[in-house]
Amino acid sequence: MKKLLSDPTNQRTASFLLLTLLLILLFSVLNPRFMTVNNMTTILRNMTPVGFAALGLTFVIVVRKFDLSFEGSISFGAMFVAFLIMSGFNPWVAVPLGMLGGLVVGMMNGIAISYLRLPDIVTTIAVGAVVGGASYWFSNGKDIFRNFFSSGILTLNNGKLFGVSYATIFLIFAYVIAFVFLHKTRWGRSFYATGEYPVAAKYSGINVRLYVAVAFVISGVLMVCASTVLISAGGKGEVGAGEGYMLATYAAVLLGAAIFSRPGILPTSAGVLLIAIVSNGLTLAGVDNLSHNAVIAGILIFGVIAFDSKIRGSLSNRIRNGLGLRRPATNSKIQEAS
Amino acid sequence: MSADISMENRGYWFKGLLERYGLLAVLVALIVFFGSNEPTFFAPINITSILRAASVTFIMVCGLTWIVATGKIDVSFYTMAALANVVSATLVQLGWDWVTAYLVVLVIGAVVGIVNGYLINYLGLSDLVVTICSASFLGSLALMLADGSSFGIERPGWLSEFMHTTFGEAFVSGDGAGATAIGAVPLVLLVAAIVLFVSWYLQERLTFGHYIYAQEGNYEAVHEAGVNVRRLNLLLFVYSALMSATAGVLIAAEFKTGQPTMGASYFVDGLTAVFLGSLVLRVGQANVLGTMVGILILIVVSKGAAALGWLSNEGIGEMIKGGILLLGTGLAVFAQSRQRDASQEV
Repeated sequence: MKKLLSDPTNQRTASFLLLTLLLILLFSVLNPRFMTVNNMTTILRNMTPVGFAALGLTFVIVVRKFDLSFEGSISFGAMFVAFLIMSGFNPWVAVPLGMLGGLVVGMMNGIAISYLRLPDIVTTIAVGAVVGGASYWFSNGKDIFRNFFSSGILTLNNGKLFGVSYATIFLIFAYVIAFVFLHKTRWGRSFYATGEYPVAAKYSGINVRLYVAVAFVISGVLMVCASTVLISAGGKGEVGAGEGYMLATYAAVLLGAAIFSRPGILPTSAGVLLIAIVSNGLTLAGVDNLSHNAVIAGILIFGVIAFDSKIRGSLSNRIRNGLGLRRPATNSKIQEAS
Repeated sequence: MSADISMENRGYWFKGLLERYGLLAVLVALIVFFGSNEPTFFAPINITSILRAASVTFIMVCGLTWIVATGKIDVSFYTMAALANVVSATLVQLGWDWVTAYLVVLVIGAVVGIVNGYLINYLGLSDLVVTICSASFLGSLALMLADGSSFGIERPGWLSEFMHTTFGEAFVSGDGAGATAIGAVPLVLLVAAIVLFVSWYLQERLTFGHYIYAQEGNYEAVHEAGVNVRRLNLLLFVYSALMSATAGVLIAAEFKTGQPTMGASYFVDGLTAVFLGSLVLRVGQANVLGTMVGILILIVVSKGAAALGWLSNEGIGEMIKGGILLLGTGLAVFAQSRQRDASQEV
């Protein structure tokens, strides 16, 4: 039992479960409607687009890059898929074609950053602006909803299996596949090696540049999945579809990574769940929608500070020094060594 | 700088000149192109609006320029401006004077800058993550304060008049004083010019500037030389927040409204200008003079394209800006790597 508790992974899992329980308790007290089956399905449905986007971003974060293009990519994907459906394509054709579009966007990012060595943040902002602008092309900026009803794209959101919408089931499938790929295969470990120590990775025979590029491609494809869920839930494609997804997506990935000390599929799913619970709980508690981003931003910063042992150490030292308390000498040596 | 001199001695001076001032030539070429294709481009009213927009944007991102020069990024500048915009508009609407409203905004800006700077430079959190959070936080606050929509200022007062006055109107009496090209220069350009000159002096002539550019190359060396790099970088974040806040107040006065979402359009523009500007003067490094050139290029392109009727929808403008940013970044990286190769040869 003691061994079970001293294992850092178990400690972190336990702290996540505790945090989730506390949040659920808090929101149930604030509004009894929180703990109903109906609301649980609402949470699941609302978290699906962010879930896809966060899954894509996870790969980019694992190779230690940043992707700021996805608000543009999601808007582009939404308009592209909506345009294909308007043109009479079956959703089973339109969505894969749309994902091909996402693949191209991801390749633009990946080639520019990995092979042309452009800085990731600026490049993805630029690509985001280009594809966000391109989303106006399909309909001159107007909403697209023709053929939506007859094509069956709405079933993705409305159709249910055991009370869970098809979109969420696809999401869970995607997470399972991503989990196996990233955590159980050689390729997955290569992503981590590329992010953590690219030089060592390169000399152990990993094509570092390819893995960075592939991470962006995966991200680009999954952003279009997020767009597809959005248009099927909203019943139309709109040019601003991706706006406002930046913070929630980063919060999900980074909060999960902070709690579990490393980015990954399970950490991201935990983060997605936490963010979904918080925004749903806040809505039910009657908190102004406009303030949600402020709350989530606050949670992300505090989460990152609270769960990062290095930062926690330096903070507590600072506080102790401020109070005039001396640290034990041995402690400081360990700190310096690490 | 020494690398440049040795390059000049080797007869590379023309290439060096082209690299350092090529973007300026692009700006002139663009002005000539749009001016000759669309005569209204040189109309006084167009000159006023271009220079006013350039002044305000420059004030917003001149602090960001130095943060980028140190190899970091601050994506919260545009919502800082939006919050300052809404706060000052609210206070003026309540009957405050612009000066007192501006003081309140400066206090908010200082707090934001200190929090950003402390979390990034003292706690070592990722600059992007921290500023994404503060950007969302400030944007959310601005929306809450404005209750989700923009509102007008009933008595906009002297600052608004200042924003809309040109040199011609201020100093030359008589009819049609503002109708000449020089007379059409807005007064606010003077403010931007002073900021630009002081920034340029700090950057090029004082050790302050050396520390900024030295740490991007070798952080440890600057630290070992006894410079308090952390404090310097914290101050850069404070300065950036204060200048963005100033721009937010000027925009409130210019448009006589408080707009909680006004910052969004400055996000790509501001970053594009800063990165494009790193092609001027100090090749591959963001600097204030380059930022001003970058802003002018962006504004000339968007105004010119609009005048020629190229912008049939909003998306094209966005695509042009994104394309310019991508091209500028590519050129900057290319120029920087070539310069590194050249200095290694020496």
